[in-house]
Amino acid sequence: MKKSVFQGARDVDTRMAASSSNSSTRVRSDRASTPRIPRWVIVFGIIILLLVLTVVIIEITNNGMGDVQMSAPRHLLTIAYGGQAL
Amino acid sequence: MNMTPGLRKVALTVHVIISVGWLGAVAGFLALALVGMTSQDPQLVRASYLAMKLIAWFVIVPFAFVSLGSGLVSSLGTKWGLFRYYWVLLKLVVTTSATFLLLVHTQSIDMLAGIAARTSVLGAYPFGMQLKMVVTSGATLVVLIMLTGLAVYKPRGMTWYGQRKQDKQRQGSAAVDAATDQAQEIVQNGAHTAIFK
Repeated sequence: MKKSVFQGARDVDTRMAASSSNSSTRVRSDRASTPRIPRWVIVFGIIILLLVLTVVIIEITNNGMGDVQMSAPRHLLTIAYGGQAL
Repeated sequence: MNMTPGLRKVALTVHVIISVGWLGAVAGFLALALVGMTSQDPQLVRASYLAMKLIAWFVIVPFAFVSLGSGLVSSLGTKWGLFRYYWVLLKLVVTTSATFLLLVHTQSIDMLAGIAARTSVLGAYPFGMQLKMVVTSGATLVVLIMLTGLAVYKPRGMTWYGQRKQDKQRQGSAAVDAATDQAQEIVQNGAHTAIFK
């Protein structure tokens, strides 16, 4: 059976709610102090991390780390900023 | 610090319009970046990079800041808060990062537009920079679609800070309830004593 990301998050919440309604006060306080991160947060975090990594790799392969002045050849900078027409 | 329902709706409307507008502008930017990288028509490539600069400075950058600001107002002025729910926190972190990334890349956009303004030679554009425009705008588009989904679905999940706040509120309301019950009991006992005197 396939579960959606949000269904998974609901499951986690349901489990947390169930554990917090437990008759044992000690168990309840332990659970409340360490809430679990929902599954969808982990999935979203991984996707965002992969996207950031892709952008960083592109930056590194461009040999610039985001600095245009370093990454662009001098003649291109002259064209772009110096007003030289070809 | 809760806003009135009218003000809350105004803030939310502004936030939705600006955020979806930002997404649309990034989609347009990606289309132009793809044309700029793949087209063999020098005039089309020039037009694309010149248009990209205008879209970036006059639509994407202002929309990113207004989206961030209106999101802050909407979250701080409602029960959602800024750090209480994972979906709000994730939106805040990603929007801030995307705005920062955008500002970093405006230099590259300016440079490509500068080349386009002065030459029509296709080989003058650095391929790495063209690729960077496509990849970053594509990644931003994916992230903005995810954020829109988060805002619509509002998936459950409270942060540690949010749970602590909720517990405090519950304790506060429980103390108020107990005090009210005690006061009612005293009043009832007083009335009972007065009747039987």
